[in-house]
Amino acid sequence: MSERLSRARAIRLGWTFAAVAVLCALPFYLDAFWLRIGLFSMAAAVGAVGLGLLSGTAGQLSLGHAFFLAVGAYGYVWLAGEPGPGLPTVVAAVLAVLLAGAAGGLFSPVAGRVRGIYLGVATLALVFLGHHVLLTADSVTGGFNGRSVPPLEVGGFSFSADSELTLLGVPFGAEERLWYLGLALFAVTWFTARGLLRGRPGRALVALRDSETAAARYLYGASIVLILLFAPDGLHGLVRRLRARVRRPRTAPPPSNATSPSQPTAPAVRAKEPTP
Amino acid sequence: MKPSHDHTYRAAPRSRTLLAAALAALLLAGTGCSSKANSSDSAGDGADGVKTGPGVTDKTIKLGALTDLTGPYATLGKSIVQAQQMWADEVNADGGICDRRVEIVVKDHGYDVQKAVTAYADISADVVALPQVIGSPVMAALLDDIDRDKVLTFPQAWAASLLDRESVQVLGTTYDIDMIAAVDFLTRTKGLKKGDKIGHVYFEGDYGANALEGSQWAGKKAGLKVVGQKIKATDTDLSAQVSALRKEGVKAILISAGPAQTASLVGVAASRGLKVPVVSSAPGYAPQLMKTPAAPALAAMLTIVSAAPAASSDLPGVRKMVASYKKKYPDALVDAGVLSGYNAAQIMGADLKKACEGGSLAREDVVKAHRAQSTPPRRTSPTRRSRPAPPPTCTSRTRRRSVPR
Amino acid sequence: MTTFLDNVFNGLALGAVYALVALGFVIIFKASGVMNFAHGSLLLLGGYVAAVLHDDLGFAGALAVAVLVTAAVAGAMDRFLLQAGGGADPHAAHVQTIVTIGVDIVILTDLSRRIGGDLLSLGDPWGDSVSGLGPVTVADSRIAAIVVSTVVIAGVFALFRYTNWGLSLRASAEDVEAAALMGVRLVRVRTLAWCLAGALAALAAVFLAAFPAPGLERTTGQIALKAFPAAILGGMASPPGALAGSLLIGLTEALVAGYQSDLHVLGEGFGDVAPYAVMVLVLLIRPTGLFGGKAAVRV
Repeated sequence: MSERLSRARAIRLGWTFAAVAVLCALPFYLDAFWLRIGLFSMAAAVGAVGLGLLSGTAGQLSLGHAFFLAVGAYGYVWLAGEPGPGLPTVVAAVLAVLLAGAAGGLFSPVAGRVRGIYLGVATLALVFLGHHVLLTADSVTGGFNGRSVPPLEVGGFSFSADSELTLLGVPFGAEERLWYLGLALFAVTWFTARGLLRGRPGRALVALRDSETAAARYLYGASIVLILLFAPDGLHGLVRRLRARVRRPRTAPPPSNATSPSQPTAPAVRAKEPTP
Repeated sequence: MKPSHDHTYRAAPRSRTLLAAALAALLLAGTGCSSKANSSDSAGDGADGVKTGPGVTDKTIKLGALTDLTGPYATLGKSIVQAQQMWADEVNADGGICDRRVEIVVKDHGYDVQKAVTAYADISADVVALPQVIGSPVMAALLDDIDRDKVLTFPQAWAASLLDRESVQVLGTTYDIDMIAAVDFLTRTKGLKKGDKIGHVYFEGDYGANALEGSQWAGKKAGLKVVGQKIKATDTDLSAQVSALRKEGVKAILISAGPAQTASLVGVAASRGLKVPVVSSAPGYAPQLMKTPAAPALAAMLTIVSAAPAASSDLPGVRKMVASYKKKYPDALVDAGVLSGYNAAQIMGADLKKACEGGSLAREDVVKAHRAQSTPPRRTSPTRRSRPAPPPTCTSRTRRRSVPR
Repeated sequence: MTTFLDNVFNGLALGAVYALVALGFVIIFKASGVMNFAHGSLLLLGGYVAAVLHDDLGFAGALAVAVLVTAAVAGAMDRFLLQAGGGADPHAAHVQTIVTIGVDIVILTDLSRRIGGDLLSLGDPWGDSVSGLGPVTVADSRIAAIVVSTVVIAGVFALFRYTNWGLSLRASAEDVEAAALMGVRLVRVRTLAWCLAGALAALAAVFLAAFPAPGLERTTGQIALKAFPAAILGGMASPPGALAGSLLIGLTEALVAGYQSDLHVLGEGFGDVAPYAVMVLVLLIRPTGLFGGKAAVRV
């Protein structure tokens, strides 16, 4: 019986390897257009994992995920660029994720007080208020036009087309390099979420969904949980920013298109009417 | 149990490594054959000795258009696309440029910046220049890429932030210049004097901010106080703004917004007894407004300031072009986009011809050819290169109720 | 003082129109537990149908058709899309809420394509005429908005109180299983609730597109989103709450926009987000809204 089991495992493992291999090979075949779409999808996937944990497992309806995306994204840009502390980009990236988590934590008193559908709309309010703040604080965020994104640099290797890199005869521009970063971040998110769900925090989240009243009795640090839940969105925001050059607030916080899992905000801010 | 236990544990890692090795080998082999590895620049010499580049082959010259056909500027986008296609057909009927056919590749971004960026990534390798890009947010997002790729671009956006870039040419006056002209118009013809107040309702973003710079500069020179009212693009009911301006006692109102806002402002102002002159830039007006209830107020109070003549103008060049447009597209609305698009296409044609004469249709040489031009083709508008110091002579136009279809 | 009265009156008129939208929203929530994100596009649909038909059928005829069409679409959406999966599961409401987002996108995209950059007139009889009410000049369409909204809302409350359907609705909102056991046709009650909400949205569209707005355009539906905070802060299952909330929101918005220049510190354009700020504040004090009851949960 264990032999059959291990055969099944081996087959599954085989398929996983095949999938990973194909994903790793794609930048060698696809051009920038398709890679960009893939990068958008990866970012969306990271955000979706977070939202799934929050709304699916913990049963907390969150329509304001775009806000945390924005915090992660703008956090990175501000921390890594000028005006701003101009920190090394990797440090800025990590801090930005934590910042998004902290934002989630700050919101948790409201989340603790308000339930169900009311929570959903309260998070929607977060999006609108956040959008307003981001537009107004233009020294930090670049206001209406957004800001350029400093490309991520890890120990001298830059994730942009600034330095020449050719692998196996294929020129590696920004999209190709970011692809692997995106895959890595997604893998991190996946394994973190999986670990979370299999352990005590996961059971706590399910308790939260099934009976908030009972869970409130036994859960301590619900805000810690919420922080963990919102961190993936910081990641999401980060991934999106990393391959954006200049982004407008209207595309970063509540994106008016399909790149964000926070579709709820799409009807809200989609038709921000144009200026010529 | 135990023996098979060991057996399976030994087997699993072995099959795993085998699998991994096989896939890795496949991968290496596969990537070696990637077509991307063989992609080289399409630069080279054409058969006729003219240096080619992206977008140029022996038979065709491809131009790109990043337009809005499904979004808020759909009618404008359609007009521009059709006008430029008309130009391309005329040119091809005459033998083409540099003995090559001109083709325009149109991509619709629906005024969505993400889509526009993707569209640019899609076509930028295949076109030599962009005679149409609609929208300042789109331009803002693409500026770095355009600079890097040296693609000559004629945007349908007139913010001063687009100036001073080698590859980007704003055709017409920027918003701040328009407002300076507007203030000049008001003081010269509408009897505004030193110490008067004028209101300026403006959109958030490049458009409004740039326009406000112009009006404030001009206001200071003319001794007028400018009362600003920033609005969002989704604001279509300007009652609150009109109330506030009326409280301030403004003698005129400038507006840098969209057609809906202009109609609301003028309509509400008229109904509240604030019957003052209103001046707007060209993007703030569309012929459809004359069908709304605000039409009489618009005809009485509104003036448009623009570097381009109206489609109803009597200039022979304009008349000829409008006539052929109406013949080719009998049911289409003739609006500012028709002129603007055709003009841009013409200038593009002149640049391509000049580049051809210079022996190269590579992108950076097309840009150089454009910069070497001293006069744009006569017919329509002036072009602006860099921030000027003094205000220019202005053109103002009063919209009459009968607008040509 | 005139400015203040101006703004207050505008606020009341806005509030009245929001009330139509918020009421529909609350009815849907009461009947099905779903937050209908497609409300904005239903509103736009109603306005669009009226705009397209008013030349041929006259204003009243076009309005009647628009109301019926929107009601039908809303009902169909509920019956064939949302209820198709079976609505007994308490968590299904969350899923259905998200489905409405998809419907919203579909309807909105198609309508945007049709409307393009145009400003459509609904041919309403008030045009741009204004009347003087003491020191204030008000648009006739605004006066009509207040009058019509009051009448319609009173009618809806009467429906709740005195008809079988109203009773069934209240019963099923209170205890779904008991209502089913008592013979309430849940599916039908729910679908009718959606139809009513659609009809109210179409009516609201008329006033939103009338003077002083320049006409119906693709973003008119977005205004429905302002009704969300109104419905929420009044208590999602409470029709009187929706009314109170809408008036509060309308007044807030008008006053903030009117005194915008004095409120610089909050950033320009704060009028747009003021409703949400008010809503969060109210929720912090009363987590189920002004009129929402405390929810009793069996542990």
